[in-house]
Amino acid sequence: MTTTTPEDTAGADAPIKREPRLAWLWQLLRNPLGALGLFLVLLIVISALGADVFSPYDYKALDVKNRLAGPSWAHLLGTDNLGRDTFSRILHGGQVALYVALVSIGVSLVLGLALGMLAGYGPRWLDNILLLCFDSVRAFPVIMFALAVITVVGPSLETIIGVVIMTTTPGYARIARNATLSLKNNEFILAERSLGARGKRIMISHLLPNLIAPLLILCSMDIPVVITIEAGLSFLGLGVKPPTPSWGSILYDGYSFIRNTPWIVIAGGIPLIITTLGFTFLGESLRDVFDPKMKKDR
Amino acid sequence: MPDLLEVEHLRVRFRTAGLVQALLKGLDDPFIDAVMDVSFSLAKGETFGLVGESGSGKTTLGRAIIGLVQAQEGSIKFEGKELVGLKDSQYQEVRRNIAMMFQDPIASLSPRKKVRSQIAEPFKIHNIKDKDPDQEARRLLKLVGLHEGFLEAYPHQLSGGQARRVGVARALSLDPKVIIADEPTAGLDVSVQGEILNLMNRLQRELGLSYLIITHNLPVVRHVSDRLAIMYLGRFVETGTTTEIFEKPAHPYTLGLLAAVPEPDPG
Repeated sequence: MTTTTPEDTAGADAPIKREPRLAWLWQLLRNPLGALGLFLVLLIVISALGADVFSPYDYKALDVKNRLAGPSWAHLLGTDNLGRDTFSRILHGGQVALYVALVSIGVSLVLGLALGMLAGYGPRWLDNILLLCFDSVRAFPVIMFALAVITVVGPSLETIIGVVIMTTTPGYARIARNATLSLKNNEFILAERSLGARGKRIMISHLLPNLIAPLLILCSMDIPVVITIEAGLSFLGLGVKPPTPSWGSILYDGYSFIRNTPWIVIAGGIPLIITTLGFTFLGESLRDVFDPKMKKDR
Repeated sequence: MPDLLEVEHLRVRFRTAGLVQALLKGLDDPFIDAVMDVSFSLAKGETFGLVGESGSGKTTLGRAIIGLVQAQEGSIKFEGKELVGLKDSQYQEVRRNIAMMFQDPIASLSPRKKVRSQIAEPFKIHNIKDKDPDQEARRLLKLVGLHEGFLEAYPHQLSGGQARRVGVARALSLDPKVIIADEPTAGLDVSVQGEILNLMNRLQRELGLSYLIITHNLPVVRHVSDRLAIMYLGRFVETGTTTEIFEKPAHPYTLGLLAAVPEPDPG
């Protein structure tokens, strides 16, 4: 064989294109919506985590003489019909809301990823069976489904979490499945197979890292949905049991006194709005940073 | 000495319609032949070129040899051992001896893995304990002419030529005897193409590798192949030594292909 040039490494020493490690965070903060979203989310998370420190009163303590008081320096957001400090109850309600949202979304994410990858990478018949299950569950309206389950099992925090897991998992699984389907014929997966890699290894170390980013973004946008479901069920008296505070039950307490004392409803509604806006802004901006081409899936 | 790789009357078919669909449409034969009655052999240290236009079945032939698609008829023998009909789990040993390089240099690397683990991947897959994957990664990287700084790079940080070198390093990791290279020069600048071909030539001399080079690029096969086959619609229309085919093409399709190569200085 003839070799025209003895040199075979000329271009190999070209420098590696490097990006700074936290470039995505900078990009996120440069977007005003992203910065606002991150700020609101941090506000909610910190106030919920530090609820015991920040609360001026015990959220269960009654102050009967000061029932239905308006905002004052003593009670920042006033008191409810039993004289409990609304500000302290809002902070602790945040704990409940975030607990429900994080646990149920976290479990849904893990389950959805596992089932979705199995459906996408596994044999055709498994895909068909799993898809049938996903679509059957998704056919139920969430609130109706929740009401039915609560009627049977009884209201509790755990029931809400269970219902949310059952209704959100199929959505994650479907997205994971579709992404798996589009990835599995990519050359890097074929290359892995040609090296002898088997299904488990391909799914865990090669598909998973490429699926997780879009799903985490979806999680961020789903958190306020779950918090609203919890608040809605608690408003109907089907969520957490008193005296545990929930933004939904605070709204319900205030609802009866809305003509005389609108403070309670306002105080219960504002954190819901902040949470929804915060997580939605954050999710959308993260999506723009990580994948400008990704279409909104829902 | 028998040839390293022997392919005889190989046939690969793809289903074009499902059972029910075929019945409904009244198709007797819902298949398409991607590879039809193909025979060739590859000796140790030899380079065999496989030339054809897009859709001629050359990539499918390569994938059938490494077991990514199933062959329906014929035989593929590696060191005398029959490969057609082996289960996926029985293919492991074969995949240590035959490695494949895919068309797109960057897309054939796992996007979220550093070069270090890309190259060490085969050691993990085959559970090889007696070699230190990290040291092997350094050795292989050096072998393909990249410095150690590339160990920590991600695929998207590499240029096409650098990624191709990483691909070569990964293919070499288990000391294979045969490398199937699907369009090794696709998507690279002409000067980089030359570097990669020279690299592959050097490695062949040093390690005694056999290459099966799949390409539509005639100047490339002319540069590297000892023998070549022209493939058209799933069949070999002509086989011979590279000089024979370039000097005295017999089949009209070969003539057409040769005539389609742009001249460097038309004049």
